[in-house]
Amino acid sequence: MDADFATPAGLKRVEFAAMGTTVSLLLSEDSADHGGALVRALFEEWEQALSRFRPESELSRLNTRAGEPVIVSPLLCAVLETSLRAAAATQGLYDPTLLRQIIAVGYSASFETLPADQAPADFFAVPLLGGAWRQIALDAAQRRVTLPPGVGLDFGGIAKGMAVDAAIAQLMDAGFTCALVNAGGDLAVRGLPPAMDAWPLSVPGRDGGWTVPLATGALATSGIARRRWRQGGVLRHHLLDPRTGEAAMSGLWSVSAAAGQCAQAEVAAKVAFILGPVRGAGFLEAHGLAGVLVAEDGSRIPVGSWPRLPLERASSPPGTANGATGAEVSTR
Amino acid sequence: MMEANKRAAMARPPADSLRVQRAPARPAQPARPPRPAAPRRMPRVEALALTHRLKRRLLVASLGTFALLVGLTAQHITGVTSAAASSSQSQQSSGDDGNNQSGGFFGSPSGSGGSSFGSGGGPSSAVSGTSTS
Repeated sequence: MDADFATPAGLKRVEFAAMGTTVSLLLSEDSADHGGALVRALFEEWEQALSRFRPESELSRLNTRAGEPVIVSPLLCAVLETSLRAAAATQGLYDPTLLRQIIAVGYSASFETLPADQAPADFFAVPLLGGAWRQIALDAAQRRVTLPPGVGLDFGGIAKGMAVDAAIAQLMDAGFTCALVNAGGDLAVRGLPPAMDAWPLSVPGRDGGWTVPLATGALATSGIARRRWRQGGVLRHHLLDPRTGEAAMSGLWSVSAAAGQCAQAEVAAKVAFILGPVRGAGFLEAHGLAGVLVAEDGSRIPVGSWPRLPLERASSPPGTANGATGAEVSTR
Repeated sequence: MMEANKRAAMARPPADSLRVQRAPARPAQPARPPRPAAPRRMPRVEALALTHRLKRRLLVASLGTFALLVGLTAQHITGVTSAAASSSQSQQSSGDDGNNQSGGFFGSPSGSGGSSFGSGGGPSSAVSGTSTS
């Protein structure tokens, strides 16, 4: 996935498949293989526990036992606890209980195996609103979880973001001082590449993108460029609005957000996307986060300390700005 | 007058003879209810009229039930839609843009949220990238 990118001197790139995507690492050349093995094992463990597409995963087994108390592993308990905090912090705009809804709009299998054109949904099916996370009973000390009857968990991107954060923490514990972990676009960095004052990272726009210098923290992008399909001729995507139970139609193409942790960046990007250009920008600003909201017409709204850089057209290789400036919209 | 009294006395039996002749006391038998008259058979014309009336009432009741069901269904759909709308409106009107500072998930609202950007002096080749997930 990252094969087209430059590898900084003194670092080595390690890649492997996990969580339905490609995980790419940049690590010190001399210990990259060791670090790669650590992170690969971590991602395998997380996927085994948290994938909704694996019937034998702990998450799938929990979902089949909704309505009864279940003792879960420390990992699942931690991810659920963080998800519920994210839901509370966003007043439910991030909702980990939209499993039935995402299946109803056609996202019922791993995206790679999902048909691009699906049969129409049940005409009489009434969309289910979100908010069931408020009825989850979680005793973190006992690791006892009771889901409301009929409700299933789908953590979505937050689990991937948390895995990236956990991988960075594990690498730091193992003595790495400089690392980049990128799981399908959800990425985090610690330390700096040799002789560089930031990690140059490409960020997608509607037509082209930017190369932003991230010194520390994490980046994530939510949008409709990739995970979308048709259901009975109707365009669907994976970013559901819990207020309607339907795919969010906010006029945005994508939102990229920067935060201290990858899980935070993931949730911030998703919530800003659901809220739309004006409220989404306000949301990032209210939380002191930087980001860029890209509208469907290609215009962009930079927020906070997000670098105001010229747009690099899609035809240009990453990192070579051609001077074109995408229409920039101010929310003030 | 005396003659008349004698005749009356002869006609009335003595009190003792009355006591002897009285039949022994038997339990009183309930009075038999009068036999009900045989039900009148309904004339054919009247029966047909009654059938027509019942049919008409059945039709009206069916239509009424159907209308009630349609009404309830419509009300339910409207309710669900308005609940979604009011939920959306209430979240918007209460200034809810997903900003709940008490959640603690994003940390302090001031500052740059734990991330920072370098100076980015001059274009440099990207070493990795965030992509739409």
